[in-house]
Amino acid sequence: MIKSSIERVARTRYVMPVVLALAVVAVVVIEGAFQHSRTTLTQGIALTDARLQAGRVLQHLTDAETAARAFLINGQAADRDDYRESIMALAEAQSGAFQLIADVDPQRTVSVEELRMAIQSRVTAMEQWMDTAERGRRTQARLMASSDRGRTAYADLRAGFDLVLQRAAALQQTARVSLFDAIMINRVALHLLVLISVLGLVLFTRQLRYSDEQKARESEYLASQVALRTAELRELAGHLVTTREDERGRMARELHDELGGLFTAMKLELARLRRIPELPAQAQERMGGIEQRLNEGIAVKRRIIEHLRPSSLDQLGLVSALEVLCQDAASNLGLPVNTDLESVNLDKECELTVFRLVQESLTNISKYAKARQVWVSLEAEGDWVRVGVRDDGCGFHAHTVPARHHGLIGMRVRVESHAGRLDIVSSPGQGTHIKAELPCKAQTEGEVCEPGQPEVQG
Amino acid sequence: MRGALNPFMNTQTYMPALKTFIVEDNQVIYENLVSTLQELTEVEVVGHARDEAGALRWLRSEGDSLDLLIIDIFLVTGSGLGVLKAAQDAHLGARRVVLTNYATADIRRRCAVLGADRVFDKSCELDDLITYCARVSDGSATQPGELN
Repeated sequence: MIKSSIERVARTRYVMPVVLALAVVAVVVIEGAFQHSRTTLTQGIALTDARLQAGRVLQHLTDAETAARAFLINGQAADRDDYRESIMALAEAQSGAFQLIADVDPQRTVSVEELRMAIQSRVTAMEQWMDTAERGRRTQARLMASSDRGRTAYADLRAGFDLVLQRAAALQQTARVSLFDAIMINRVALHLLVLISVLGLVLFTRQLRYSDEQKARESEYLASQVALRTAELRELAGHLVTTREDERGRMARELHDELGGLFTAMKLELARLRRIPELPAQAQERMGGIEQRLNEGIAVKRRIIEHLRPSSLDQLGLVSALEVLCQDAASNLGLPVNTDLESVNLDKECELTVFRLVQESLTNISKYAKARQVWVSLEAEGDWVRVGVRDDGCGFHAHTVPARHHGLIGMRVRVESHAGRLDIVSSPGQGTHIKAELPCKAQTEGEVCEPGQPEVQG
Repeated sequence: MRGALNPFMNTQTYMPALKTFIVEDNQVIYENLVSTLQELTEVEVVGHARDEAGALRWLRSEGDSLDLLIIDIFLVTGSGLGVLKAAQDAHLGARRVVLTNYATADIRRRCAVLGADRVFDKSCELDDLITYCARVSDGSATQPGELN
């Protein structure tokens, strides 16, 4: 129930766009959280660096003032150089610190201008001392330095830096809180993704297995249908063969009974006519002509009947009929047809099938095989009768018989319709061996069907 | 009774009609055969059957009085060979003649084994049958197997 409803949803046309949209949302959320985290972390690092830089600025300022005051006292060039170096380092540290603060506070909500001015005024004051001292008025310079409110100015500066850094840290604090939120969102989004993926994979696998089973069921069904249809076709073909033989048999019988009767009656009439006394010689002559035509008619009738249904099979039995057939074939083909035929117990239909099979095989040999010798065999083995027709002709590829050559297929269908089996063994240059197996007639059936009948059937 | 045993057979003064039974399933042939034989020979058709069972029935009751038995091999039901065999088993005195469309060597052999005196082909030996019947009735026919 749940499965089917999931499947119904999965089969709708909107599922793919929805999945894509969800994927895009997931990517955006995760990417956003990542960007936010990165910014926050970068700013945190910048804030720490800014603190260090601020300390360094104050340190350089102190160093510069110490060097300046030393120079004012002893006027040594080394102190003046120290002062210059400190001022240079100060400028560098200051710009670095302000840059870091700007990084922490991109919106410029915290003002560093006041601080910049304070540092600038300190540097300007020291520059004046140094200027004055270098011009030789060291005493005046010393005076200026001693009256300076340096200590207070430092405290103010430190306080100023602290203030700026505190404000920046406050900004950072909000960022840190939102960083935790971002990480949490990221985590939830990832968990959801993993869960959905696992669920999707499970459903997909199940669907795959289900469709495999369905396919197996379908192919099984198709195979059974094919088997069924094949059996039906075989039955139909067998039925057609039987119908055809029945029809031919009926026609042969009718020709024989009706036409044969008429011919015989005519012959009798003619015999009576000929015995009329004092018949003119001319009439005798004409009667001879009529009799000759009549005999030709009888011969034609016999040929047609024989073609429709081998009378030899009905009159002489299978073995004799096959012997006659093989003798005829041998004289027609002009090559030896060796027979090894033993009396077998088959029902009428099977006998006709065996006869037709040998007949068809011999026809094929005469048409295609270019054989030098032919062997025909008939033998009983247990409940089965084996028929074989073998030649030493050119043979053929058993798989490459053209589709329109229905002879072999017809043979097979016919044999199989009696629950028998047909094998065709052939390859180019190796001759052809047609082998068929047919079931013997059931004993009781034979006794019931033909009570007290002699060997030859009427 | 065979013609050979008839004390009047060579006198020409008395021509006893050959009492004949015909087994033939084709009505046209049967009618023509009867009229032909009765017109041309001293044959008297005393019975007729269209199948083996009917023939056997008739032979059982009246077979002993027969002179000649004309049998078609292929019948609607049963076979002329069965009739021949029954006649042989009953030791009937009548001559037995087979008239068939399939006078092959094999059929001739089988008929001979079952006691047939002669086998005639329906389509080309009818004249021979008539001649034979005439010779049987006038007593000039030889014993079975001797006539050419």
